[in-house]
Amino acid sequence: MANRREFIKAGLAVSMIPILATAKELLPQSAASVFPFYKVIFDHRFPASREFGSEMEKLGAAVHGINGDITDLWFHDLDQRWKQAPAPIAGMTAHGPLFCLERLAWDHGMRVLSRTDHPPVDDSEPLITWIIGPRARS
Amino acid sequence: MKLPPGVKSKDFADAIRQFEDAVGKQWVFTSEEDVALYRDAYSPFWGEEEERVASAAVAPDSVEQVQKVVRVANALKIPIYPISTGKNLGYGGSAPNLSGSVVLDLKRMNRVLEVSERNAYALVEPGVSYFDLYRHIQEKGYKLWVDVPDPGWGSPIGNALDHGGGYLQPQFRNHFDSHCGMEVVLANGEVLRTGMGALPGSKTWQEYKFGFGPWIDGIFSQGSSGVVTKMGFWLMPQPDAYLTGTVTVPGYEDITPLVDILTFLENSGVSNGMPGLGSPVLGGFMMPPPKSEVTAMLNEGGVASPKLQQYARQNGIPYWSCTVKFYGPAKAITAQWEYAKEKFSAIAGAKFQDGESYKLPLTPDQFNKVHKPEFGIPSLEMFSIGARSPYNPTPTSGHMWFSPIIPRTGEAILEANRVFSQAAKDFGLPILSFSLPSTYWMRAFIFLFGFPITHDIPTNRKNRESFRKLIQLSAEHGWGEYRTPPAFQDTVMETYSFNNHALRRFHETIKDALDPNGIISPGRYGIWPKHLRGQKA
Repeated sequence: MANRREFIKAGLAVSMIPILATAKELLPQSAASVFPFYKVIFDHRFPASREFGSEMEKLGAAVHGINGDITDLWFHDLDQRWKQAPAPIAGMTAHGPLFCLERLAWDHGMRVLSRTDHPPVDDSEPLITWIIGPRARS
Repeated sequence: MKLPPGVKSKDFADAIRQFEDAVGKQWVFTSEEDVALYRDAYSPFWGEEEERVASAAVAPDSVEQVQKVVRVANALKIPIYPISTGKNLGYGGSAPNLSGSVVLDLKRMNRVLEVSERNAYALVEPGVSYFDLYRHIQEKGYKLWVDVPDPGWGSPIGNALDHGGGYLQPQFRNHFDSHCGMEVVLANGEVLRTGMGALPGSKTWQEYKFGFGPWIDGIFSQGSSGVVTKMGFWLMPQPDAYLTGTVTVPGYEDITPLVDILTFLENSGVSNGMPGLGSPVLGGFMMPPPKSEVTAMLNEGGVASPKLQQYARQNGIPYWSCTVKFYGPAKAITAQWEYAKEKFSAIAGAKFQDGESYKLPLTPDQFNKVHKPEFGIPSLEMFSIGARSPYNPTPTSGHMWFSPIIPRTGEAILEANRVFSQAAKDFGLPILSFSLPSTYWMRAFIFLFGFPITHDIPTNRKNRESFRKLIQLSAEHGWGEYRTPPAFQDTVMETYSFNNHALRRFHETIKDALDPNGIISPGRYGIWPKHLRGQKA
């Protein structure tokens, strides 16, 4: 039987591969550079999300950790960045932070481009891996 | 696309083309994907035919563009539904009352037009969010606080127009009360300024509300008589210090003098922060969860249960608590707390505990610990605490607020709980066995019950039915809703029926006079234009 860490690793595998693969397909060419995300968001409260952030950082991502609340991320970073131009972000968070970021992104012409729901581990909240970005040119 | 009722496809297409001429093609949204963004995320009709949905959206950037859009809509009789930032979650979000309406999205009108530190006011456009105004004030270094709701991503104009509330001193907590002066585009496209704004060259638009003659601002709040394009707000000067203290009282009956003394302290201006009522024995929100034996006694005998009273006495657990809060000079608020203790000491067995005490502005460490709206700081933290936890094992897809206003007395708290807990049993309602009211308004209490929204249609139907029954039951006891999602606005307005619905008939008279084609927010807060009156959305 897989232990907790193995379970998290397995979850990571199914969450990270699609995120990187689909980013290239979903994002406009201008955004799909070597590493396409302006920021990658993880949540300190969840081991799987911390692992996700750590792995993404190793791949060269600029990561930002939250504790469930996106206020600081929004006020000190994304709000000002997105006022200049849309910038794609990705993350592994619970529903609440994604709910907020999605709605804030709408006002800057961005959408949730990809969303993968993961089953909860133990009594933890279910996590979601997601990409928010400008819509690809058709 | 769901067209507005009675509007021909050709007229609608013509309107869209003229909207594009007015604001630019890129700011008119008609694709299914774009229009879906204006759905109410917490709609109690989610996925049902009755869900209120828009047909399109148009986002002007200026008053002149709003005028053009309104004139087109008026000429072609296209219903429009103005929103500011569209964050009215729990009370309807950005979805219109009437399906097929075109959302008039004012988010691009996001300019902070003026902030006076000297006289503590701001003049803003509808797309300005609380975060925007807070940022502007921070960047300018003004020593001013904005009274923000929780969460704080909405707009001062939108929140005030829907009668939202905040957490600072009482004269700011009621956001509509703290506004001063409006600019409104009427249904014929004309621009109106209220209060001193009607005087050309006025120097006091944001300083004196009333101007000259009848004061009309109220008809634009929860209203459908115009599109508000500017609004002034009074701001709170940053206080020197903040202090809280808690009084606990031992007995069940002590709630009556506890509330009476609190009300005296607030009405006298002694306690000038938003107080919090609690029950140490019952536990719950912002307190440790109740013990299982307490829950059993509460469920069996209600809050007045003799067993519960005996349990509280034997274990030395107070029945009630009240946290009072103070803003002001440190010496003054220390004295105010001392005076409050003297007053509360009239209740036998009252005990006191000092709480938070901060010299302002907050240090970074304090900043990270406090409930930010009580310091005029917008926050989205609320969205991180509504998630799954031992106390919320099955988080839902949202909520709708049942929010009756009740008298500001201890007796009313107990009576309302008796009525609502019985209703919970009778109707199978998802509300707690006992709740304490919120204290946003200085002169009345408000209960806030969050009804879950799910994506399960039968559950939503059952909850809607219960919600309507509760509105009716509440009204039968003299308690009216202050605000409600569009799905229930007709039901609530129906309860405000004094003298054969004289108030609604008055509103309809105004509506017919100012907006004879009924284009602005038809059905909002139960006010329908003549051609749709008696129909349902």
